[in-house]
Amino acid sequence: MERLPAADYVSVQIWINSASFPDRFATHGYRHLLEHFQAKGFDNRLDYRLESKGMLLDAETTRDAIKFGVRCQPSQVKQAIQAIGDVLRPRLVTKANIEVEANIIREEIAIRAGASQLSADAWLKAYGESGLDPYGNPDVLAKAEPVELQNTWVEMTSPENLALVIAGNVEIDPTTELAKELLGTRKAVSSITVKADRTGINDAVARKGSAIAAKVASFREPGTAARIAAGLAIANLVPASYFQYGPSNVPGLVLVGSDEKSVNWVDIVVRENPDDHFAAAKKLVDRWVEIQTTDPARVAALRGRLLAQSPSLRPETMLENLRTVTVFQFREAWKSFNIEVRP
Amino acid sequence: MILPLVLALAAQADQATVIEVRSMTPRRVAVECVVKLPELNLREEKALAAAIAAMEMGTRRHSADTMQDLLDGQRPEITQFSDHVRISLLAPRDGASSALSILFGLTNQTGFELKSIAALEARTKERIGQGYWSRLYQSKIDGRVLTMGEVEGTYSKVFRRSQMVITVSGAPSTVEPTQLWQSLERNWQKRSVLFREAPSVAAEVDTYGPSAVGLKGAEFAWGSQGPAKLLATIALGSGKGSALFHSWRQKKGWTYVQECAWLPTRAGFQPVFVGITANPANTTELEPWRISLLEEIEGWNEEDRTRALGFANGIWKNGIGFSPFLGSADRTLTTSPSDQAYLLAYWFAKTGSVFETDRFLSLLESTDLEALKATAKELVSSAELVRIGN
Repeated sequence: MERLPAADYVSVQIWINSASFPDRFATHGYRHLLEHFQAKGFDNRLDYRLESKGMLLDAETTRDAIKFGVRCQPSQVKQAIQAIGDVLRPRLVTKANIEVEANIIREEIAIRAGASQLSADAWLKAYGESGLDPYGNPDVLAKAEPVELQNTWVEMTSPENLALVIAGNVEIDPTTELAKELLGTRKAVSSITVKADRTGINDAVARKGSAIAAKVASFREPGTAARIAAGLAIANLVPASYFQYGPSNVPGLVLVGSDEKSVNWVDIVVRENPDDHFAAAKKLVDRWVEIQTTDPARVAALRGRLLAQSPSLRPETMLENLRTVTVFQFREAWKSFNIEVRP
Repeated sequence: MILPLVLALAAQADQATVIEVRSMTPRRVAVECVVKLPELNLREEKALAAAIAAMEMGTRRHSADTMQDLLDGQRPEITQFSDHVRISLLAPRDGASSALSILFGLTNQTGFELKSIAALEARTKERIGQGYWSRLYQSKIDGRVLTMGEVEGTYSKVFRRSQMVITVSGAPSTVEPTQLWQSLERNWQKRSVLFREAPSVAAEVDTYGPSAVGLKGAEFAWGSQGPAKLLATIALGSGKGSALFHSWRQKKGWTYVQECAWLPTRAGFQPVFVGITANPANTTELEPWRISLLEEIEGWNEEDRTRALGFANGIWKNGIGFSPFLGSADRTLTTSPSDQAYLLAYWFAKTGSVFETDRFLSLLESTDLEALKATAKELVSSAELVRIGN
């Protein structure tokens, strides 16, 4: 629970740790498929009900977790938590449902933005199977069995895998009680937790634009903070570029890219002197931290994605590291951008 | 959640209009400028895009790096629409003066001396190729090479004080934004052209692989029919409870992304409904896309009207996003301080009145179910079906 008195809305999010069910080639995208089904609610009309009250449900599948979030006003938090309870309730779908939804995911993959495609390629290049794209493989999904999916969901949503985060202008104690009342009766069905690991190198071919990435260790490491700073500074050198990093306790990537294929990121990293960009990086980091720590949805996401991995993980460690990045760390981090993704 | 407003309008014949929004808890000051466009031919539209590319590279007042430094690492964002140009600046809390100075430089003191026409054209080409909203309304491009005189001439034609509405949204300061801007305006100058040759730069353009199917409605001015058309647009295309989602995605399985927007036009707005698909079989026949929506409208009841009104409240009061109004060529408006400040400037430039959320929403509520269905049917039936992309 994080109280943000100046926030103009409340974000209620549930994060479901996927360490016990990481994407593998044989089940590639099951979690994404489940996200699609569960977001519909028990009667397929959850969105409709929320939208009638001016609320909005969103969902996302990352390599570490599945997230469902509801955006609402402080007076609507109870309804938002109930919606989360609805999303968590297991649904039995039919084989026909699976075929239709697998096809929709096929469409989703085909039309996604260049940044997302490049990110998938970079992850595969850096981590092989353990960096598989969370969007999934529609051909694998079409063969999924309803009972198999339901069992996976039940196992994955065991309480030890869940983190409920509420951020916004809410009173902490009564809201905590409300959350306990609505969701606190869930019983553990499994204690299986497999620590996710990421190793391996595969070739990948970029389909759109260009990008460069640096491998990072846990979000808690000072070196990760330095790579975030360097990534922001490198991205800043190219107009209309983007920056991606999702904090995680397991190895990951910091990626910068552009929809333009002609950007030579390796050349930029080699040619530019990092010392010239350190001051700008500090400002960019401040701005990045400000965004992550003031917008309720981002605050909830930052906490939720870490808490789902372990109740002891807090973003403050990373935020402090970001504020204290040294020039020396920055120089080293700059040089670590060496995973190039381009056609 | 909408910003507390204190409005100060200063409009004289040869001056920009300044709207001040005083928020109690801002971390930043948002300066948004809307420049209403005069009538431009295709060639001038392209010249304007090149001028904007040059503006972002720096002005005589500020280099690109200085602008970025004054804006705490942010770049000015400049977007060209069919009826206006949006200039968006986000500065530190005490940075209103710097931001207005940058705005003045962008609109009056861009020099065009550092980059060649080829470089500007490359940037222009890069912009036009990106995003499906922009592709919907920037479908025609004059391919001939521009001259620097055309770029400079179009810049002078477009950036006139009388056509500018500026919103400054942030904490109250000792010097009011209106005074700050007016003191800058006193130095508004006639521009001269400096031109220096530079090597040409080639840019590759990525375009969307998949096709988009669009229903482009007829253009109309906001006026009395605006509210019903807006509610019908939301019922049809906004959110997962919408007709587009229910029909095109859930029932037919044609698309993953389906959205609506009101494209700005010189006459007013043009409602557009878009579905994107990667499967060519889905777009061999376009008429089924329309028919499926008409079937949905037939089945609407009071719950659908309630959902549309709830969603409208969500957009403009709860900040859930998915506004039909565009914030750039690729995204619709949010309720970020910048987008809210922009909406104030744009609505004033477009309609001559201030956007008041409660009043705006009450206008939508006056549309009953029968009117909603009739308006939606008319929108869909009369829309032009288009295929965009491959």
